[in-house]
Amino acid sequence: MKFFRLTALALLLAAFFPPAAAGAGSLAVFPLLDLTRDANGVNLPLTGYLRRQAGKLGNTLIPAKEIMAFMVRHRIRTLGRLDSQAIAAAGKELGADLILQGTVCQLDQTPSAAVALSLQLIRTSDGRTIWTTTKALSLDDLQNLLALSDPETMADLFKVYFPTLLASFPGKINPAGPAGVGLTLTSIVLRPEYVQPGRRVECRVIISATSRIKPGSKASIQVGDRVYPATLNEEEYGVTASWPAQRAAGTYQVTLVVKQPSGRRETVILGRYHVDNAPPSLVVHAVGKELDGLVTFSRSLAIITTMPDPELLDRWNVAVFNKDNETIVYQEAAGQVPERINWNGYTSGSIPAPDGVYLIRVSAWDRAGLTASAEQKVALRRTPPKISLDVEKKDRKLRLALANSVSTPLSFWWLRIYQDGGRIVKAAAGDHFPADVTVDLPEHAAGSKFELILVAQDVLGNRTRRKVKDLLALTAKAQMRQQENETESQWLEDF
Amino acid sequence: MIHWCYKVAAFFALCLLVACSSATPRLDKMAPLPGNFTCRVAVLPFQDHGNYPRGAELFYKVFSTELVSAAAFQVVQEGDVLDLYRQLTIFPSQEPTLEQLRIIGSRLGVQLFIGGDILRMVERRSGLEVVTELTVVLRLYDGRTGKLLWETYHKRRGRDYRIIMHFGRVNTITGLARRMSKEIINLWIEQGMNQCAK
Repeated sequence: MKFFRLTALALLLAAFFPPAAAGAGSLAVFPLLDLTRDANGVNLPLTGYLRRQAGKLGNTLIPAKEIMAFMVRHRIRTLGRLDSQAIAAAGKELGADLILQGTVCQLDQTPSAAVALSLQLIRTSDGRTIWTTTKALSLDDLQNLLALSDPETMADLFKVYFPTLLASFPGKINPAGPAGVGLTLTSIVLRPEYVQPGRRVECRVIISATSRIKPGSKASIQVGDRVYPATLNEEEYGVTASWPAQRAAGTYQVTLVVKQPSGRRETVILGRYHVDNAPPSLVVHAVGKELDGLVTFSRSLAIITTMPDPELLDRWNVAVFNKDNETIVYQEAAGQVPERINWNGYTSGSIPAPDGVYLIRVSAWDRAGLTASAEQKVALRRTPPKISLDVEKKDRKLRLALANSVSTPLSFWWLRIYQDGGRIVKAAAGDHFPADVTVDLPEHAAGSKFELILVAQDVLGNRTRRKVKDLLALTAKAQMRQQENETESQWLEDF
Repeated sequence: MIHWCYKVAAFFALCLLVACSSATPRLDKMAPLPGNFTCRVAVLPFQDHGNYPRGAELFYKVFSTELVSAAAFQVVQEGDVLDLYRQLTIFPSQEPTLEQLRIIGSRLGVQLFIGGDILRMVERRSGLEVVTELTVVLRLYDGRTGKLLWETYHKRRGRDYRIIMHFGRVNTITGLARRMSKEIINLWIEQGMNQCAK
C-alpha cells in the first residue's frame, strides 16, 4: 500500500515538475568526424542536424562560428578525438560546460541505406566523458512484415533515426565534476636519450591545465634513489630540471614528483635514459694478398669492420691517408658501419691513386657520442710485370732470356712461338722469372718469320701481354728498342 | 572398422566447428587483474587486419563508447592516447613495446590498457540480406607493468542475432560492433573486472 502511495506521489511530481534539462550548462557541438569519407573527414550537414537536436533539449549552444575559430586558433586538425588540453581550453575560452563530439561511423546508400553515429559528451571541468551513445540504423531494420509503407530513402531513415539519437541524453549534469585525479602531462622533452657519464640530462614538462596544480606545489625529479630539484612554473604549468648523468652505465628511469601543499604526492614516469661509458669497439680487417707484411691489392680492396661488443651507432666514417698523411678518400654516413666497404684504389676525386702504402682508418660514434677508431696499413700495386726479353741465335737454336723488373711475385707466365702459317714451334710456361727458353728452329726455316706471344701475370692480377711479330729481328739490341714501341701492355678487366 | 573411425572423426570435427562459433566470447586469463583497480582505463589504437575501410577506427569509437556507457569506466580521451603515441613516436598501426606501455601507463595514470586486433570485418549484401561479420581479439594489459593479463576472442555474424524471419538480425557493422563490444564487456565484468559506480 505504501509502495502505491509513493508511486502516485512520484507521478504527480513528475507531471508538475519535469526533469531539469541539460540547459543548465552550455554545450559546444564540435564538427563530426566522418569515417565514411576518410580518416579525418568532416560532416557539417549532420553536425548541424545534431546541433538542432541538442538545442531542442534546452542546452545553451555555443555558436558554430566560435567553435570553428577556436579550432583554428588551437590548430585542431583531427576531429572526434579532442585531447584533455583542448577540452580544458574549450571550457575556458568558449565558456562551454560540456562538449559533444562524435563520429559518423556509417552513412551508406549501399548495400542498404544505413546511418550510424557514435557520440561522446565530455565535461570540460574535469575532461571526463560522462555520456556516450552509439546508434546504428539500416533500412533493413525498418522492414515490416508485409513490406507495407517501408522507408525507402535516406531521408526516411533520418526521420526515424535522429529523434531517438539523443533520447538518453542526461538531464542533469554537475558542471564542476569531482576533484581531479593524478597528473596529466601535455608534453615532455627528456634528452639526451643516450648520455655519457657526467653530462647534463635535461627535461621540460608541460602539465595539463586539468591537473589543477595548487599554488605552493613543489616539483622534483627522481632518478633511481636520487632526487633532483625541479623548477615549477605554476602559471604556465611547466616543469624544468637538469642533472648530471650517473657514473655507472645502465638505464635510468625518470619520475616527476609533484608535492601539493596539502602533502599529497603525485608521481608520473617521464621516460628513461641510458648512460654509456664505453666507446664502441671496432676492428678493421682488410682482405687481400699479404706481401712484404702488408695487405696488398691492385683493383679492389675489401675492408671488413667488426664490433666485438656490438652496439647501435650514431654515425661512422672511413678515410684513406697517403704517405704524406693527406686524406685521399673520405666517406661518412649515419647508422651502423657496413659489414664490408670496398675501395677501388681511386681517390674521392675519381683519380687512380698511385702505387704506394696507404692508411685506412674507420671511425665510429655511438649514441652517447663516444668515439672509437681502428686502422690498417695497406699497399696498392697496379704496375703490371715489366718483362725484358733477350734473344740469342746460335746455329739452329734460339735462346730467350726472360726477366721481370717489378718486384711483385708472378703468378704465372706462358709463351707461344709460331712459324709462318700458324704452326707452333715452341710453347713454354712457368711461375717465376728469370727464365731461359731454348727453341730448336725447324729445318728449311731460312727466310721464315717467327712470332712470339708472351703473357705474364702477377699474384695481384696485374697482367702484361707482349707480342713480337718477328722474333729473329730482336737479336740485335737496337732492333729490340724499335720493337719496344710495338709492345702491348694492357690491363685486363677480368680474368 | 575404418569406416567407423571416419564417422567418429567427422563427429569431433563438427563439435570443434560448433565450438568455434560460440555465442559468448572466449576469454583466456594469463594473470589476475590488478587488485586496486580504479576504473580509469585507456583504449589503445587497434591493429587492423580486416578489409573494411577504417574498420579499426570504427571499432575503437564503438568500443570506447560502450565501455563508458555499459560499465561506467573512466576512459582516457582518445586524443590523449594519440598525443602520447606522437610523443613516443609510435604509429597508431604499431603495437607499443613493454617499456612504452609502462611509460604510457604512468603518464595517463591508468591501471589497465585495452588493445586488440580486428581480424575480420565484413559488410556486404547477399541476396535480400546484408551480411555482417566481425572477428576481434581484445587484450587487457596491466597499466603499470605492460604485462598481458586477459585475452578475449570474439567472432559473430549479424544473422547470429536473428530471432525469427529477419527480425533481430543486425544489419550494420556498427550495430554488430556495438553488440559484440557489450558482450565482451559483460563477460569481463562477470569474470571479475571491477565495475565503477555510475
